[in-house]
Amino acid sequence: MNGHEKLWKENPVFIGGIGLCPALAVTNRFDTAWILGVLVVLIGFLGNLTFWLLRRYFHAQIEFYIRILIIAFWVTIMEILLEAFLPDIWEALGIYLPLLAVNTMILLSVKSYPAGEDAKFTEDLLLGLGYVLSLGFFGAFREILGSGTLTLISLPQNTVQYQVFLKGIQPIRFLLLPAGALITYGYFRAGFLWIGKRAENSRAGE
Amino acid sequence: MSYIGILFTFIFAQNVVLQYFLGVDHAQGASKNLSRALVEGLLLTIVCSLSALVVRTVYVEILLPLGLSYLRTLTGILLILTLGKLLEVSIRYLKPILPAGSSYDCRGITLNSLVFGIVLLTIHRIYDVWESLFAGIAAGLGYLVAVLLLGVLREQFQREWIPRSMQGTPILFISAGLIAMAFMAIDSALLQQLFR
Repeated sequence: MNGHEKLWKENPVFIGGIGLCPALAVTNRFDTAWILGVLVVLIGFLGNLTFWLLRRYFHAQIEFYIRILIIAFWVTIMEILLEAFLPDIWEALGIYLPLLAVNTMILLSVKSYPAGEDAKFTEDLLLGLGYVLSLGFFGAFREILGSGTLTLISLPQNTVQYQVFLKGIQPIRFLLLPAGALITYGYFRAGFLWIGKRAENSRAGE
Repeated sequence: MSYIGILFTFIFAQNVVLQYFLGVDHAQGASKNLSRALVEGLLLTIVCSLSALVVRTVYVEILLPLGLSYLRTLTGILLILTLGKLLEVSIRYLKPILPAGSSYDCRGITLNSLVFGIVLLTIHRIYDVWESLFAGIAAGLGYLVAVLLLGVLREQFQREWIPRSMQGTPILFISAGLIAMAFMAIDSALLQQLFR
């Protein structure tokens, strides 16, 4: 029940509206979308772990700066790894990969816990799963309708890409543009609100 | 590229908020209170221009000759945090001059993805010193333009009938998309003709 709620009622992208900057910018291809989602969850988890392990070695006053620096450190590591192993994805992500250092979603997951309380890693991972699924869904929607293909992953040697539309059907190119992203996001958000309200009404009617 | 060209690019043709989505989640929240958004936008302009200038200079003059270009994220974040702290301190000293009862979220301004985003764009596009300063100013003004447009729309929406689940943020994003479409008409070819 809790997991279900985290995915639908507290969906970080479509209900919470956090971490929108990369969510709108890189979702014109499915592979960049899901890889960025996974990176956000991974950096959030690793940063949280590092911060949790280091928590008693610094003063509370500089906690905020330590947090940002830990995130920036993990972002740098991911940048180097991605540049080495997935250069195409690295190229496509562009400025949005280093921009993860100020991502709200990661900042939210790297936090200090009150004294005596244990870290809640599973809850964060569940929220992260919601983020990855939303980004993947958004990316798949925009790529399939916008260019008629679905790119699962692009490796240096070969690109795993499927032709979804039959030849001769014109895809909606507008969805690949930034303006298309904003409009699609608006409709998706309205849809999520509508579904949420309907579920609430049906529960109240029982 | 001329300085006016850079200003036009980041304010209209490729608006930082509507084309690059830098600081879009802050922008839709800030559009609720326009007078506050105006001051915050001006503070953002200062932070953006200074950090674009400083980080670009450090990157080109220190990191690149030493072969440490992979440190740009850490260096950029550190410099931006320092500049943000300077802003916080200077606001504390300027408090008697500023309008009474106003408190500004300096951390929110520093961590706005607009600041780091425009820094990365300046590094990415290899601007020189003056161009990076102008890019920072243009980013702040572009953010201001987007927030003001969204805020005016938000006020207008209160007077019109809107389907219930569209109310609030969804309709704001759809209108932002329409504004972005309108800005697409100002393309770079037209600008190059005008400001050669």
